[in-house]
Amino acid sequence: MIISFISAPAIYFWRIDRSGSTEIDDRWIDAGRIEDLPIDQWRKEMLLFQRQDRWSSFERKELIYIYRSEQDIIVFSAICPHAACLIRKNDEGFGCPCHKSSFTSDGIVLSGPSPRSLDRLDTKVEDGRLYVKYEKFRSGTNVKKVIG
Amino acid sequence: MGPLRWIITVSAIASLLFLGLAILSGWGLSGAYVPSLTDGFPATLYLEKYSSGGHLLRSIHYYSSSGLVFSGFVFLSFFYISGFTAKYRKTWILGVVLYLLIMGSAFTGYVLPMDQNAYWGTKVRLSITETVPSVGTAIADFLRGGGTFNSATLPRFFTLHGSVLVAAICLCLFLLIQSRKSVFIQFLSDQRFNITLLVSIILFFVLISNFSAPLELPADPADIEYNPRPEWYFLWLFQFGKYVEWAPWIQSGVLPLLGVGFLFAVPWLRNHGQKRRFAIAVSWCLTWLILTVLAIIDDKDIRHNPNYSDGMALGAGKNFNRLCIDCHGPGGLGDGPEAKVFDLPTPDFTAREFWNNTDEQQMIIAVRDGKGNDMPDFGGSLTYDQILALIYHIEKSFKPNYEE
Repeated sequence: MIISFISAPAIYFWRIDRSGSTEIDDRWIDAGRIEDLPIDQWRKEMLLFQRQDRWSSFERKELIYIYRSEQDIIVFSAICPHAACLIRKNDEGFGCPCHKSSFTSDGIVLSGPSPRSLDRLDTKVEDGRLYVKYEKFRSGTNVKKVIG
Repeated sequence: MGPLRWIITVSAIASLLFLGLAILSGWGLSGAYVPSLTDGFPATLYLEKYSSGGHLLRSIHYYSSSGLVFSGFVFLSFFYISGFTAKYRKTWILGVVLYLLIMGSAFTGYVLPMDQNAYWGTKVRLSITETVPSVGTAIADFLRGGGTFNSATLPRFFTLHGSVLVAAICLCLFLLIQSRKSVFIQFLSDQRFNITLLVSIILFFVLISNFSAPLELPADPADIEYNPRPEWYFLWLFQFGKYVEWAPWIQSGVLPLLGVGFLFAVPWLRNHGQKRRFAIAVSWCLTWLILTVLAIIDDKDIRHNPNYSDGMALGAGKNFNRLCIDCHGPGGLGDGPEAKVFDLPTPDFTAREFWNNTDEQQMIIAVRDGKGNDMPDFGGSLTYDQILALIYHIEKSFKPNYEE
């Protein structure tokens, strides 16, 4: 009883201080020139960018898969929607090494525990360069909910 | 003293010993550790490789906590089999609570080294926590201080691991000792007991100094090759999770609830004779063993995650091929394509004269700051440890009569 009263301020602070989840950065990240991307081929790319998080600012490295066709560009986050492991490209499409989810090249679940298809990221093209809006989504849920 | 009583006593003393060692070595470690996403790993590496005694402290901390998980389990199982649970209800309940708190410490301490294993293990475990119906995401977000790993995550885990849970454990331990006070006083006043304890602590230190706590490469959230796996005592749960992928809440919610509920209910169970208790304990151990073995068999073909020094050596080979080979050549002869085209004065690493006239310190400075007009500086792109590993790699590959 006494302990719960004493620890109340700490718990209250921990509950409200969640800037990691609430402050969503919507800056577009440069992913290189469009011409450098091969047509009709999957490519693994590393996004490097600075992000501000509370008092600290640090470099983030995030992995994405890019596919460029004549009309369209598809970008998938490499984070598995099931338990946030990193997916790998294989012959069928994509596979997760942790719990063996597999996906088609369109990101649709073929088998395994993943509750939703791969997370597609927003893209835009400006001056011949590809920009990606990098977001992270809640893992293990049916809906895509942005968490950071 | 019957064999059951004997095992219970020994495991209880071992648990106390391990707990004491874990807390004391933890105090030592916290003197040079920084709970931060960016500084957590360098601080751990400093403790492990450069500080005096940090290596031993980490070993003590790591092995005493593993030992605690084991001896605590032995204590609870034999306490249960012996049927003391109904007689000493308070001791049993406090013992179970204490064990759960110790599990909590193991969970929160796991992430602190911030190496690959720490990062990925904790990340996957938090994702499993998120699958607990209705409260899972709230708990995970509370622990992390947000939806993803962020600057508050390590301070929070560190606080829980190093102060909140320790305080709770000490309180619980105090109440536990109070509940069986006469037994403890009897032991502590026994000369033979004290000598045995002292000898076992010394033995433990001697044994531990030959082992080191594992440390892998720094956490890399973009490493696609990494295969996260839990500690040995949680492998069974990991394996179990594979069978209930269609309903992850069975693994994260129902199973722990049933297990903990059973443990708390034990003192009040009726018709729970010795034979039945024995059967339950044995079948649980068998289940544990089978699932653990299955998990190991399933994993026999996966890539083994390299430890820190092996990983650095591997990286050094890659760095040589990426940064050095154009001038120094694949054989270290100084005959790389760039060196040939521009006629650069590149040393021959296979020549005895080179090694006679160059020491390690000179090489470190040459790689870090560059040399002459043509050798670029790599101090910005390589860390000190990477440079050191690179130089070992060059020595190992090219130095004539190299001895390990």
